[in-house]
Amino acid sequence: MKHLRCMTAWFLGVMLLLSACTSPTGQDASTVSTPGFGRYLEASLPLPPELIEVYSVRLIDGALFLIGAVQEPDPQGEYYASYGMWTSRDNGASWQRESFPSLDSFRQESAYLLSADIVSPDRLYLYFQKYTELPLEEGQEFPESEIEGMMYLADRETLTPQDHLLPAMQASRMSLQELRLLPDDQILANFWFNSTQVDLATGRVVHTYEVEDNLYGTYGVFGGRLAFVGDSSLDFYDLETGELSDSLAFTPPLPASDSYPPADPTILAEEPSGEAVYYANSTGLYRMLIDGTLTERLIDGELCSLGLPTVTIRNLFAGEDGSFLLFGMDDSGYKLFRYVFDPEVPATPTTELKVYSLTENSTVRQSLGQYQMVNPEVKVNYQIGVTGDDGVTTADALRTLSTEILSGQGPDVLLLDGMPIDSYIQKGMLAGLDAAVAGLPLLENVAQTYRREGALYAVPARFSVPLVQGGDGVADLSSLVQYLESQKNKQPGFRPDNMLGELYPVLASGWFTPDGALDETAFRADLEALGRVASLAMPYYLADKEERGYILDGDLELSMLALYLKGEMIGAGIGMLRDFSGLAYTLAIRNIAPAPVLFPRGGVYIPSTILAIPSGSARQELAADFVRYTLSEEILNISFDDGLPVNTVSLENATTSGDQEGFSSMLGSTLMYINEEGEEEYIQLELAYDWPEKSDLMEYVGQLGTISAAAPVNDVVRDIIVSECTPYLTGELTLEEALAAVQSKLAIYLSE
Amino acid sequence: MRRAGGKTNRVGIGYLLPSLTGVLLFVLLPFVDVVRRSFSNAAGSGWVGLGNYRAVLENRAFRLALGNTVRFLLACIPILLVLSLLLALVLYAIGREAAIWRTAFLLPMAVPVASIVLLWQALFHDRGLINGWLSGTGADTVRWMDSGLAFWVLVLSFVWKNLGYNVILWLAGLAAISRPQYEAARVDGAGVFATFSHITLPNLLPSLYTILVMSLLSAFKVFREAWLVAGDYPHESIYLLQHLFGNWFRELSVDKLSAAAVLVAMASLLLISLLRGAWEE
Repeated sequence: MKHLRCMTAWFLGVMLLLSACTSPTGQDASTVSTPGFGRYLEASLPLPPELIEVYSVRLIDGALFLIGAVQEPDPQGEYYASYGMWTSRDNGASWQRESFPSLDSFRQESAYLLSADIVSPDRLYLYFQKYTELPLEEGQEFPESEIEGMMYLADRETLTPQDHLLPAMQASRMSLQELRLLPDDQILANFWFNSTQVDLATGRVVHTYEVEDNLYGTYGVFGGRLAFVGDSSLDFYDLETGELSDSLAFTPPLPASDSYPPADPTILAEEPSGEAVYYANSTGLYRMLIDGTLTERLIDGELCSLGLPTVTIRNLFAGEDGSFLLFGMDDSGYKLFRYVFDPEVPATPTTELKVYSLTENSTVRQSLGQYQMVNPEVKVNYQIGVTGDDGVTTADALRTLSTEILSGQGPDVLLLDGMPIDSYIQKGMLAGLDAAVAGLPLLENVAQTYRREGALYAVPARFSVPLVQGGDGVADLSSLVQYLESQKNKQPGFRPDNMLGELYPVLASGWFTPDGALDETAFRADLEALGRVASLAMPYYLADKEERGYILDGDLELSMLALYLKGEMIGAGIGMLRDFSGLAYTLAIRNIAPAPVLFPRGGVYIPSTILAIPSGSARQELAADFVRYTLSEEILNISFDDGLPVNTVSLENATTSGDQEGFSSMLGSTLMYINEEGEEEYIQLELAYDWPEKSDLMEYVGQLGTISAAAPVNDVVRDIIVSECTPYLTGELTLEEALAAVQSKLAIYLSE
Repeated sequence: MRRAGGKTNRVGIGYLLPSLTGVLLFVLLPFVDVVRRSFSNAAGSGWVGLGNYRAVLENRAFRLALGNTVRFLLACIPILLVLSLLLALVLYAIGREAAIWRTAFLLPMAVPVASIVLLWQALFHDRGLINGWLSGTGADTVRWMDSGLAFWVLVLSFVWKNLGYNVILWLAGLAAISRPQYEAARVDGAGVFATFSHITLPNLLPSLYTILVMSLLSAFKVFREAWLVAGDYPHESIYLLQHLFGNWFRELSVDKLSAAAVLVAMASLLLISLLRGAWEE
């Protein structure tokens, strides 16, 4: 008995020890286990050339049908949209334009095709809208327009009006987005927030389905039931009753989106056997059993175009041969991808490269997606420290990163945004990047920001530059404050409660001495000036009189700056140049305000997407190759509005990017505030803009190369200053109290 | 006898071995690595001798954090020991009716730290309950957590949370004192204070050592509350050693962190040895 107890104790002890020594995943996360074979490989297929719009894509009996438009010149030399049908009978490898005279010849003044669905190769449903401009009234800047709908059933030779369907097609305040034929001679009309099921013979609305984010491809008919992608489940509706009949939970959960419309929709396709639903989003392509609980990931989104932030998917088709066709678009236009299973290639790449950043970065996401497609043997594992889903703070994430680095499990590429860069450099944690960036055409002043004692330890892939626009001669904080104080009855353009957070990168380069200590004189002067600006903000009180509201958001968007200046809401303001589109807005109001200039005088740049390689990385060469690729024109030609590219070729390309896309349009905004009577009042602002002349933009490009001051990017210092000084700007502390609090905490941080 | 004793020892060691192995692997060996790193640069690759120790001892943040930690211990421990002893004596004197009070004093220990922090924020925030009451009476509001008062708020919180546990420990010590000693003293005409100073206190000395060490260890844990309320950089009066260690680790200052950890470990070991020596005397 004693022996048994002794053995049990030993066994439990050993088991405890072994379990403590095992990693949670059961394998070393930095190595990729020996893979099996077989993986879907992506091929990008051509689309009909010169397509300017696509209204519908369908796979019918193994052939792809597409209804779209191309631009064609009329005898007067004006361009118009010419509609047509194209087909591909070889899985998208080649396209032919079908002869469809009724569609080909359609042309009406001010009438545009809005939605279409392909019933069969010979029958289409088409919904047009016709805009009639109403005469201008006195004081009216832009003409009002009246919209008229036109619905047709088209066969090859004739268009048959379907006027009885028009009320249903105009049932929503939102315009019709997509048409989809349903069983039993019915059609589904999809608007942004709902879908209506309409009887084709009578035009009667049979059912209305209230759905959020009703985007292209996010619904379909499966086994005689209508399915919509919900927040966390696939919801099936009975076409007879219109009632929700079943829900299948998505596992893993769908990627969250904080934009509207969601930049990352989940789209659906039916499996030919009818037993399963295929769905795809940025994380991959999945097969979900309709009558079961199993979900299988067929394609890893990170290994193909699905994971690229530039790609938005729209239609998914499952072929009889097990392949998939994916239709969507990226920043260069419409795209068609085909995925074919190749049993000869390893199921997963054999080499892993770990990339780490504190927050999601679109440039890196794009780069790793493209890099993996160019290097199919490499799997780039992108780790994000602060996702916002789990309550992890920046400090928590940095401590976890420290643990990984110290245990030898650290990343191979670091994105240093928000990290203590100089501290890492001083401690020898970063490897030199001179060889990695040799020969790249980079903007020298920005690229060399982190050169210390002869070696380059980090390179910003992007940067932003603050500009000021408003009164003549406004070029620094003191002249800005004086000018704002002279502008009676105008808002300062900043909110006291967030202005320091927004302006920190703009002003902070002047607040620190070369050894990193706080320059108390400069900081006091700027804080005092900001206090004067804050006192100009005209707050209104929300209903409970506790919380103050401000008419302006106070963020540093050049578009809003131009809009507020044009609306005479503000006298002058600061905006961040992250993309040349920002200049399009500000240069559009040159008749009202002088062109924006660098702020403060001489300029400052804010480095971002700061790439570095930890000296402890075991894959230095691969990491250097990835960094080089990320800094190349291939990646930096794409703008995510997260900063100007450091690559000079991309920077020059960016001056014409909007020009080629037909950038001209109208910017509008409605501001709400509560007046003294407690009633809501609205201010309507509008601004027409056009892509600026290249010469104007090249002037700015020339100035960008001369800026020598870089803004500090350390989030710890920023957080201390913002948290301690914002109460001064909101009137809760005196200047002396705020300064004392900042000095005390910064002194501790700097002495650490 | 020798054989039997040897076998007993072997069995005893057998039972101890799993936990000893764990301590060796997860505490002692890592500490050896910490000692090694305290003589290396931050990357752990170059020998710097006593450079890290010099840097730590000259570091203003370290001196501030050490000073605050020592000040906190010096303020908290006597208050806690005296207050809990007084309460224990009162409860011991009232006999059976003390049961409900014992439970009441223990309740703060059952409250999770996160809840205590919420309560703390509700009470001591600039717009919290206490400032609400103060402005209601027309008095000036107080910046409890952004002034030197933060230290005393922390002391109050620590004493409130740990008082009950110490009372229980003192009560256990009081229960171990034999009744005949008190009766003999009463027969000899000893008063209350004479009985307390000549019988109760000497008999409580073994408990004092345990309570002191337990209170010391609890006092080190008060960092959780300070950190949850004010983050990495609280008011300088409650900036403790653990804040500094956490911040150094965040910035990968492993060199200074290791040297400071060795210094603090040595100081703790010395303090406990001194206490033990004094108790054994």
